[in-house]
Amino acid sequence: MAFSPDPIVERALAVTRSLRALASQLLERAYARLDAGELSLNDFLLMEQRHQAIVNQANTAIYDATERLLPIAQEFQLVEAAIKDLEHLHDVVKKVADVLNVSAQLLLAVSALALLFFDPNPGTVAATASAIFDVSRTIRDTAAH
Amino acid sequence: MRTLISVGSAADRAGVARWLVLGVWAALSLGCLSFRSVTAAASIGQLVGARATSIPPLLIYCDAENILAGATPTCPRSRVELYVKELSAYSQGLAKYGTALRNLAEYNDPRIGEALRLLTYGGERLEGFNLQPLDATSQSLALGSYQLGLLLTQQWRRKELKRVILTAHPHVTAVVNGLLNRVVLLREPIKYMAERGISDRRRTLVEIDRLAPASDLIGRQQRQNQLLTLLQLEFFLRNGHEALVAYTKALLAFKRAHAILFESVTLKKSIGERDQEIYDLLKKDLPPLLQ
Repeated sequence: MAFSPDPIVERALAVTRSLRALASQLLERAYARLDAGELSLNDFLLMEQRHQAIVNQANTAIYDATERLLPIAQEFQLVEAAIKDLEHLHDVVKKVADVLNVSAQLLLAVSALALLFFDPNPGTVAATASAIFDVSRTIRDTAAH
Repeated sequence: MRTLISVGSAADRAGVARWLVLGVWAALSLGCLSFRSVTAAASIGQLVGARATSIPPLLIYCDAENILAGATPTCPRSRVELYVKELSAYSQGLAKYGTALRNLAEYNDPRIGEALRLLTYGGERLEGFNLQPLDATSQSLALGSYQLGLLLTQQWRRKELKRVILTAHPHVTAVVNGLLNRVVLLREPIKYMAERGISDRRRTLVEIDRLAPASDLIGRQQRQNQLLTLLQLEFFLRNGHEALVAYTKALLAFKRAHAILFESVTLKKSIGERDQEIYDLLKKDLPPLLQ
């Protein structure tokens, strides 16, 4: 997906890249003349300073452009609202799951109790005790949360 | 339950159970798939937060730039400090949004299914208030009930996710664009320093050293040490710039992933119906953006 930057960004990048290219050309020429013995070290360092001055202009233009970008704080507040919404939904789904879980376990315990009433034997006693223990533990855990 | 089913033969009961399990399983599979795309997009959002670790060193690059600038500093440190705080906070916010999307999409509570499974498991084997031996039908029905329990919250979650994605999309896009614009600008001086600025400084130092008198042993030693420091700085700046590029890529990929989700929920079809299509699109579009 191509990113189309803000026109401020586009202009700043175009201008500062040209400036930097110009500065680099200037320095390259200075190196060549130093190597050829056409420039003294002092003159070379003066050219180097001029190169740095152009780079400085480019850097300043970048920070000016950054300052002129539209603020995004308001948009971010709306994203934060969406985050809160999602967290709330997560809580809701957890609560619904808790209620459904307790209901299903309660139904299980009642069925086991009915079975015990009509057919009391060690197996149904154990199943009923286990179902009642499970549902009471779930209710206690849910209440603790 | 067995009383109801016992109207037919054992083979009929097994058939009914099989169809019930198949039906529930098919519906559940469709639902699971739909959340896969949301999870994939949300993971990219989390990646934005992880890659935002490239932002705080902007202050060190700012100091380096000011040293190179000479008498008049060009990097406004106090402003860059604010940018760093903003960029980090917003990136972490996007990661939090991704996590929240993912938590809702991946919500899976097996407890309801387990209770329903036990209920069906016992109920199906009950005949004349006596538990019958375990058979294939009991197992199939119990499995079906378990899957039904998992299904209970899916449609609701899907609907709510769709609503949140629709509402948040323009704001998520605006925040991502804002971050991209800022980081693309702020990484520019670092890119220059990493690619040219420091190597030019090293080259100049080598020229100075070449032209210095052979007797200047102290100066030579100092220049060697300076060259070593510049070498380290160059390495640090290169890595820093690469990390900022990786952060930009994560932002671009998240923007695309969210746009794909948004486009899918604005169509009449549900996320579930188009899931494979959306997931394929995510798989096709995101890796090149992250590379």
